[in-house]
Amino acid sequence: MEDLTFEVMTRWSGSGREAVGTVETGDQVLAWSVPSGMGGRGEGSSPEELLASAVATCYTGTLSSLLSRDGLPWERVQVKMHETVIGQPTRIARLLASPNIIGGDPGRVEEYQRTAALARDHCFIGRHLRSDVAYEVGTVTVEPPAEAKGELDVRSLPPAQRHQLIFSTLDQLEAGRAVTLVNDHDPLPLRYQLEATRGNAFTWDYLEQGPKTWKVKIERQG
Amino acid sequence: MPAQWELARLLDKALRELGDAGQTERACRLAAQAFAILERQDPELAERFTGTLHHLTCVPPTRSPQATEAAAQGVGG
Repeated sequence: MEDLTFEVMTRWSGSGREAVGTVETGDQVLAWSVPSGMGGRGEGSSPEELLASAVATCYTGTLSSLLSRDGLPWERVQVKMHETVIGQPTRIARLLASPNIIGGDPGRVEEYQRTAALARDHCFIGRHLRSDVAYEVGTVTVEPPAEAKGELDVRSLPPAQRHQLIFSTLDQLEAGRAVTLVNDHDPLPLRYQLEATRGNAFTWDYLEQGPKTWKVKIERQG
Repeated sequence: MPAQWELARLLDKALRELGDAGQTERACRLAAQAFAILERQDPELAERFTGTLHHLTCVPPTRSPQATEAAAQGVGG
């Protein structure tokens, strides 16, 4: 591989810790300041968070590659990176990655745990951490695919395709069976349409009502 | 524009005004009935009343521009 170069631009004005700066990466501009716990404004991100983000993004990409390589099923990977800063002198003492595998096989959690540990060793950015930073992997959680949980998540679908899929799924539902509809807004219009087109064939129970996610258990009457 | 589209446009307008007049529940049920009538025979036109229902139930627009445009055309989840 040829040598690669990367460049970011940071800006800072004002004096002391009371200012807010920006960091420009590609076409993104991110505000940052000194964390409030260190006497700063605590606005936007911070150098501490940016370092954790750099390691977390590299770790996440590495983990997803290794999951595929090892033949472990997955749909999405989420990683919470917990960073611990201690003083005096101030230094980063620990980075703890807690992966969440969505759409995986919960019966193979030990294999996921092994791959997650391997991803830490292969994480290119993480290898640049000083040896006195404890870079660790916590417990891996594995969630089954949405279908296995009886969920119908339409959030990633274009709006025009949502009702068609929902009606088709509900029409195939056996009596006494339920599906949990997951949407990014209150699917109340659908409820009116269901009642107008299918009468009282379905019950409707909200499990979660916003602000970002709505979950409704829709059950076909026996 | 075909007559049924003109009629659907008028009905959509009337239902929105009914909702604005405080009869939201009534307007929603009528919009859903209009959807039910058209669902099999003219699915494209039926979607207009999906848009009516979204307006009446005050669903905020979806964030992506494509979704916002689709919602304006009367489709959504």
